[in-house]
Amino acid sequence: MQARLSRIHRPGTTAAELAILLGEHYQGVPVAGWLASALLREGSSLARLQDAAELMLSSQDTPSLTALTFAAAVAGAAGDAGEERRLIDQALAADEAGDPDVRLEVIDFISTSGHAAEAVELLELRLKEAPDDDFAGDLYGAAIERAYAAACADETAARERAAVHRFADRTGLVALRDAVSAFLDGTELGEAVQARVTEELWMTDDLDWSPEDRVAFGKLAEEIALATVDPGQDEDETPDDIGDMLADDDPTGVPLRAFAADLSTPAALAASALAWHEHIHYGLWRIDDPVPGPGLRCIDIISGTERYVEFPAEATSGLPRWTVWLGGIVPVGGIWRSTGVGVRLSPTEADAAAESIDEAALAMLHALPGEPEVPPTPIPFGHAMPHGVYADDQEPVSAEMASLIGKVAGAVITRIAADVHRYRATPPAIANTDGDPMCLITATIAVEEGTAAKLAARRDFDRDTGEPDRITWWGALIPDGQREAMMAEAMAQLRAQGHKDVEAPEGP
Amino acid sequence: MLRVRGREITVEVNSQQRLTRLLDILRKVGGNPVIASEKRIDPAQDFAWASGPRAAQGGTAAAAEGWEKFWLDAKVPALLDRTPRQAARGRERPYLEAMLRQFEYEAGLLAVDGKTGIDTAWLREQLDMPNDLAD
Repeated sequence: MQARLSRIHRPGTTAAELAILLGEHYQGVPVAGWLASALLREGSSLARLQDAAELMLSSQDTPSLTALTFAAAVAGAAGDAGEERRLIDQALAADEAGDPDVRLEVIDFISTSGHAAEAVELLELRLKEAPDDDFAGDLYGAAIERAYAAACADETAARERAAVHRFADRTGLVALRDAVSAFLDGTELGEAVQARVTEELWMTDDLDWSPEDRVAFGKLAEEIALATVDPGQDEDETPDDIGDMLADDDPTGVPLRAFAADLSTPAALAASALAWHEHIHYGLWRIDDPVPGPGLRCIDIISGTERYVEFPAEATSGLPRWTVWLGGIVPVGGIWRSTGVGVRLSPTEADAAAESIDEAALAMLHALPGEPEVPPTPIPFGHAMPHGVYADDQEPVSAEMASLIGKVAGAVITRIAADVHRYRATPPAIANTDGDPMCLITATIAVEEGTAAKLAARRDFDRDTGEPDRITWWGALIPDGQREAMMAEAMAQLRAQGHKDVEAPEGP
Repeated sequence: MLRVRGREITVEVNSQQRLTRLLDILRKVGGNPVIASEKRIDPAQDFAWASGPRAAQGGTAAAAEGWEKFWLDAKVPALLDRTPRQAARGRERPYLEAMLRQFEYEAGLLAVDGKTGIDTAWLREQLDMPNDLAD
């Protein structure tokens, strides 16, 4: 295959041979959108590429997607926008009744051949129908990033700017929240939501929340309540009963579904509410590159699900690399958006939270019908497995399992958020230079006659020559490496303070 | 500091572990130690620490001379008492990667305040564990 690729890229390969090689290599699927440009950069002549494209198109009654896309790429490189458009349209029409993944490959060709905005539009349509289509989601992330780069580089790139604007536009999400809030106002369902929020806040009454943190926690509790509170359910089905929540696939009484079912709800908002309820994915979203461009690539370290996500600016400002966002993401108009309510976690905090969610999911799966659920164990802060690292190498779980894990994460998210706050508020253990917990002890020890003299004879003790009843204990010897590092640090600090002439002492 | 008065030694130490070590030494030299009296103060009772994440701040010394250099060859409990150099080649590598990510995250937090964290780039270079985004 390597030899074939090398012949494809060799400028001396004849047009006829190039046509055959491309057919063999791409096997009927679209070529990469940048291929023609790359071949030209490497020394191929445009005429030779046009000849090869012509041969490929004419060799079959129905040209393959390889032929159509290669010819489109060559037409684009030649500046023939009309012919390029005609061939792209022909490629899009050719696979309409076929495999959705093949169509996505045509869209990827469009994205990588300088038409990212068009690819974004096509992918939005696909993702509106199937927001969980991982391949489409992956291509969408790459396409919107290309459109963003083009929009940043060229103020007149109207189609790209429109794509970026749609991506950043959270008005649909805000409109849904406002409409649901208005729908619940003064109703029994609204009172049930508020009761849940009040209960959650009461359960964290021991916490020293800042006013902002308390408000944020209340919003998180409210968000969960919108998808779970159901006054029509049996009283025994408590809000924390994960198993019951998961067993109920069609909880028509919950606020989001009740809103969607209400006859006065506009159809678009009803669809958004149902999409929220069906697809919202709570998780631990690891953010490897925190600079939005315009969105962030995220991986849920519990399920391995990857999503390209739009976050509100306030949620991403000052994010360090490897931050993990504990929160929900929801598809709106084919774009995955953070709900904006959540908690930023460090990698180690996230590992501990992942272990806790895993445990909750397992407990739910193994729970016996009718038996009370086992109370959760404390979140293992500081001694969890490196789930965030494992997520890089593990295959994502199935879509069904990811959905289940997302629901479990949603069911325990307020507990985790509160426990993270509690953990952060816990005073750090005060330790001495050995790393032992600090405790100031004054002890009087009865010893045998002559013990002091025996101590003073040891290398690690030193009797004060002026006050013979005082003995200094030097403690444990510092390892060489540590001593060197401590000395280097002391020297660097002295130099930073302006002591330019300090030298390291000779000897240990 | 120990103060000797006849067959009694009064000692001030800052941890239970240090007191235990001293008692071990006294036994080794045949002192047959017995604690006659003891007073303890737990300083944690009087501390009012600020909440929030506590990031590990880097030292003033360059990584090649300071804490980072020492850490590479120090036994680390979180790496099951292996050194980072050993862990980089062994089964503990995921735990080491997790530590490096935590260091990098904390350095990012500190950078917002204009402070410097642990030099993770230097550590990754020494451990031959490249940063995925940079490569």
